[in-house]
Amino acid sequence: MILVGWFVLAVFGKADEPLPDAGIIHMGHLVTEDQIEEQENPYYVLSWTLSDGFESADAPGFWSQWWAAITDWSLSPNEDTFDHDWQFQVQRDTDPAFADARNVYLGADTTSYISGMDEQTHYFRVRTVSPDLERYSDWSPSLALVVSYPSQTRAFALFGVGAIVTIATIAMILIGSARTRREAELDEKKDQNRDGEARNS
Amino acid sequence: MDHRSAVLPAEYGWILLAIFSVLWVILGWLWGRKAKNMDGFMVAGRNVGLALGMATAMATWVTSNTTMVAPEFALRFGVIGMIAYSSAALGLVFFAPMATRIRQLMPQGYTAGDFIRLRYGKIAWVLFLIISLFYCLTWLISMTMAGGLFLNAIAGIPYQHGMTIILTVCVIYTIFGGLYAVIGTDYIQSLIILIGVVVLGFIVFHRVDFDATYNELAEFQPALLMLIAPAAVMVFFNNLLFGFGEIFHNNVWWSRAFAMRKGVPGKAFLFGGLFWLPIPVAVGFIALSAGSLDINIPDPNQAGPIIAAELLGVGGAIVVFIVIFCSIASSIDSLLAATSDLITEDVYRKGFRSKATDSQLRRASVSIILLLGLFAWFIALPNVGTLATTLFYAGPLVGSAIWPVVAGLYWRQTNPRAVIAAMVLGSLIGLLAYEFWAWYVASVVGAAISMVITVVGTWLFPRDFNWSDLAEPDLAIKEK
Repeated sequence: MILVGWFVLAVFGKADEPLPDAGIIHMGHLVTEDQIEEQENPYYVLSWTLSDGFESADAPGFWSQWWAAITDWSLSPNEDTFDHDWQFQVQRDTDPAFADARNVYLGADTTSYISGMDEQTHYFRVRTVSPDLERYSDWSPSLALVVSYPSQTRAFALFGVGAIVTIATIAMILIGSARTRREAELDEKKDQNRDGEARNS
Repeated sequence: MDHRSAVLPAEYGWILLAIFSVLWVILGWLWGRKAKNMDGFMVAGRNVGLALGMATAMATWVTSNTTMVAPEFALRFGVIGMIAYSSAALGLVFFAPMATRIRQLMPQGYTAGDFIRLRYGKIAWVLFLIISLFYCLTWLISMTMAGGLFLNAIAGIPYQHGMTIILTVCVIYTIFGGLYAVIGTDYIQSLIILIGVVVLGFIVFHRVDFDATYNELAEFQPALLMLIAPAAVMVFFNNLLFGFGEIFHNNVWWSRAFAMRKGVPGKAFLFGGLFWLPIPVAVGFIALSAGSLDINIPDPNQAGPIIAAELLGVGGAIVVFIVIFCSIASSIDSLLAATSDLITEDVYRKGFRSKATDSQLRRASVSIILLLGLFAWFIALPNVGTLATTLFYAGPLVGSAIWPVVAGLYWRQTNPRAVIAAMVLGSLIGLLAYEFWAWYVASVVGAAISMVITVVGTWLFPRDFNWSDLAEPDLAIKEK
């Protein structure tokens, strides 16, 4: 049975909607070329999975056809839907031809969290590999992630507001505490003097 | 699911869960025997010393977020994200002088609600209760869910079973002994957390090649090393102010300030914060080393357990299990106790039964803890994955409470109407920022709006206040 990958958007109720194999990531969601937007969070969860019909571990040519990029998913690590020993190999490159590909992952997981990429287009692809690493499937269609950061003006404006509020709050606490401590000490001294005067008289 | 096996055999998980569940219940019962009256149950007899005070401050602030979300911050926002998360320690550090002031102004106080009611009147009090209860309940539910998810992830214990056991254990020992039991168990839990983190950190330090980690990040994840990445820059003060808001307004911390003996709160919160400070940095660094160790992270929440298990095998996973189990329990019990105090004192006693005796209040408090536990269990049971997001909704709400609390403690002339407007507008505009901008700007916006309204309103229309009004004569609970 042929492996079929999915865009694992089950958490959004869109598990059966195949998305294009290349596009722009915005806030972790894959969007099409005509929906280009700047993204601010350079983190994504790449997911791939096997079709329900996958049963045999022996048949070659398995490949994970589609990809997902999601930002949220449910933690339930023991819901393995397949029990074979085949592994997945994930590669990444800035060249669409994967001329200088780097292995991102080799193992049985079906998700990988990626973050911290620099501003350019990064390509990913996946395939299945036999346990002895001698047999493998075709590569999946590649996924293109265009990472581009927004202007830092807004970020620093908010940073400035945050700094002002924080400094003002801390100053208020420290000055207020020093003042109230002085007042309390003065009150204590006054009480002591009053007691002393009362005893003397 | 994605990570194809739990990191600890299930039988180990069940054995550890059983051992620590029984341990907490027994310790809670032993400490709880001191809670002879309502002062004992709600504020631990107002006689908590420095060691216990410091331990409870640190242990309560080490939530599952510290051990599970801090690595996520490091992986999402890099080095600056890791530092941003650890800046939440400043909340405890700067609550230290506030706690001294609180103890001085309200020697017989029970809750943060008491302060707002006496300082600003009933409208502000109701608003404050809404904000505080929303925050407490979402935090309680998210901790409950985190417990179930964590046990499932690390040992394969079914989510519903793990979540139910952790919550039940915390409810039982909180009912036994109130704040006495909570602070006592916090003491042991804080020791375990500190030792566990030090052991893990020490082993990771010796196994991880720092140069390799840096080179890996510089080559493949360079944005994680940037100190001016836009999202990370915005996250920094947002997280710090979220922490300020969480601590300054919440009865979890106020009840501890009331519980500590005179002269202790300042030092206890200061040292509690300083001990907490390195924990997010340590777990964040562990997460950043994943790439150089060639470890796949399917979910950044699980970076700590996965890397520890990969590096240290079953032994490491057991240490992580114990540390995170302790951190979750220490937060759930504190929330149960402090939220039940808030409802018992501010809603039940002040709203319906002003003449309630000590034993009536104790019964009410026990019932409220049970109801809170049931409520949290019911909401957490279906494992709706969006609750963490709901907790972030509390960011602008608690951010808007920072200045009303601080100005109320230190300015005699703070205007109550300005404070009400500050909480309402700070919350609303902060929520709009969350919705239309991003979650990581909402607390900054909420706190900034609230600060401006409080300062300007008080400057234009100052209202004098007599500090002695905070020492309300009928605040003390009558014993039967």
